[in-house]
Amino acid sequence: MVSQIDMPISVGAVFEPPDRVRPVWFMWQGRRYVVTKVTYTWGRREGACRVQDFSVIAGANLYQISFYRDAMAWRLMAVDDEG
Amino acid sequence: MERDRIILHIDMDAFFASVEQRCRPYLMDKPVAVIGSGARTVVTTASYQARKYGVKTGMTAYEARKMCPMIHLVTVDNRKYTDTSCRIVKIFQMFTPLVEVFSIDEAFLDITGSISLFGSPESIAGRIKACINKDLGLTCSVGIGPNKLLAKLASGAKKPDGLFRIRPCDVQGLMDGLSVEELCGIGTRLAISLEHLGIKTCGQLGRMPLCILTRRFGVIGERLKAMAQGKDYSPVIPIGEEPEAKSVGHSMTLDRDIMDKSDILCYLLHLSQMVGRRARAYRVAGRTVTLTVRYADFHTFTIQKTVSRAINGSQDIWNIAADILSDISLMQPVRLLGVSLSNLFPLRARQLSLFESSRRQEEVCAVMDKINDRYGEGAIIWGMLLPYCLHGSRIISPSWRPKGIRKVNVK
Ligand SMILES: [Mg+2]
Repeated sequence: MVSQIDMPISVGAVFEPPDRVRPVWFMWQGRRYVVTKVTYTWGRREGACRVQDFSVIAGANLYQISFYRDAMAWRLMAVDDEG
Repeated sequence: MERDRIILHIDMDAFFASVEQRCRPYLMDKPVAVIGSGARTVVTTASYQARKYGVKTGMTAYEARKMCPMIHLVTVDNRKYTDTSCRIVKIFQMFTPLVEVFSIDEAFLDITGSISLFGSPESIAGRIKACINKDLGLTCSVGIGPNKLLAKLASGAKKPDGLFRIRPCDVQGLMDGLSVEELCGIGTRLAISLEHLGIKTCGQLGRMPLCILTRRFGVIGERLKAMAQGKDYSPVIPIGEEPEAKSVGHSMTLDRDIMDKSDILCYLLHLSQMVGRRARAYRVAGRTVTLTVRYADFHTFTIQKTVSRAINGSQDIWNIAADILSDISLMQPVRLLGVSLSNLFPLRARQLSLFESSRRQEEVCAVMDKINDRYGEGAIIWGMLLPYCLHGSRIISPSWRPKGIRKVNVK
C-alpha cells in the first residue's frame, strides 16, 4: 500500500559531476534510513522550481523522496510497503 | 525511385508499465496495468505479463481485474514517463540528429548518414538498445527498413526486445500476404471500406488499378496503393522542424455523465483556461473556437464558431464555447467535452485592447499565467471552479511531444 507523506526530511546525499545527486540516507521520525538502492529517478518541474524525484529502497520498504534543486530542500513524498 | 535510406523505428516495450516495474522492483515479472487517475479511467499500458491474460489498453480497471485477478493496478505518473522519454530521445540523438518523435514511446531515426560513423544498421540498433537498457533498465523493439512504413512494420514483427530488418529485396514477398490493417495509418474503418472493394491484403491493394482507388478514396488512393507496395517517401522530420500547429485543444472525459448546463459550463471554463494558457505560451491567437461533445452512448459532434478578432484569453474562449453550448439542446447526458482554438495567427507585438474591460481581462490572464508558471499548474484557478474537484485528464495522449507547439490536440 502506498501512503502519501509529503514532509520535509534531512538527507545525506552524494553530489557527483557533472550534475548528479544520489541520496545515501535520510532521517524520518527520528530514525535513520540507509538507501540500499535507487530504483529510478526522474526530473520534473513544480512551477519554476526544478525537482528531482527518487524511488529508493531503504530497509524493507520503497520510498519516494524529492530533491527541490533551487531550494536545496528534500521531502519524503510517499512510502510503499508492498515491496 | 526511392534513394537508399536506412530508417529505424524504435518502440519502447510496454513503456509506462515497464517504467513502473523499474521504479518498484516488487512489480518485476508481475502482471501490471497502468491506469489513469480519473474516476472513469482505462488501462493505458499493460505489462507483457498482464497481456498474457488478455489485459489490453482501453479496458476498464474492472475488466482488467476480471481477466487477471492478481493484476497490480498502478496510477499513471506522466512526469516519470515524459522525463524518461526525453532521456531516451537524447540517446537517439547521439547516433543521428534526424530523430522524429512519433509518440511518447516511439521514434523514427534516419541513420543513413550514420553508417560510416557507427557501423551497420544492426550494430547501431544494438548499441541504442544497450544504452537504453544500461541507463534506464528498459527494453525496446527496433525495426530497420528502407522507409518509415517498413521500419514501423519491422519493429512490430518481434516484440518485446526485438530487432528485425526488412530489406528492399524482402518487400514484395512480405507485403503480398500481409493484412492491410497491419500498415500504420490504415485503421479499422478504412480496412472495412477496402474490404468492400474485395481487398484484404496489401498484395491485393497494391495490384488494384489506381483509378478505382482514387474514385473511392480521392487523393489518398495513390498513397494507399504505394503503401501496400511498401513504398513511403515521407521524410524523418527532426525535432524542432515539425509543421506549425493548426489548432490548440484539450478534451476531457468527465468523472460522470452530466446533463446540467451550469455544470458543463464549469468544465468548459476549465478547458478554456487550459487551451488559452497553451495558446498564450505559444504566442498564438485564434479566431475559431470548436466545442466537442460526446454523449453517454459515444455519439460525438463538434460545433464551431468563428469571430472577427483573434483571441487567446481564457474568458474570451469560454464565452464563445458557452455561446455555442447555449444553442445546443442536449439529447443525452454528456460524457466528454472538448474545446479547441484554431484559425491561428502568430502574435508578434501585443495589441492593446480598445476597451478598458478587455484590457483588464488580458492583464488578469497574464498575471494568472505568471503565477502558474512560477508556482505550478493550478496554483491559481478561476473561483467558479472551486466547488468542482477538477483535474485535467492526466492521461498523456499519443500525440505528446517533448516540447514546442504541436499540431495534434492533447487529450
Ligand atoms: Mg510501445
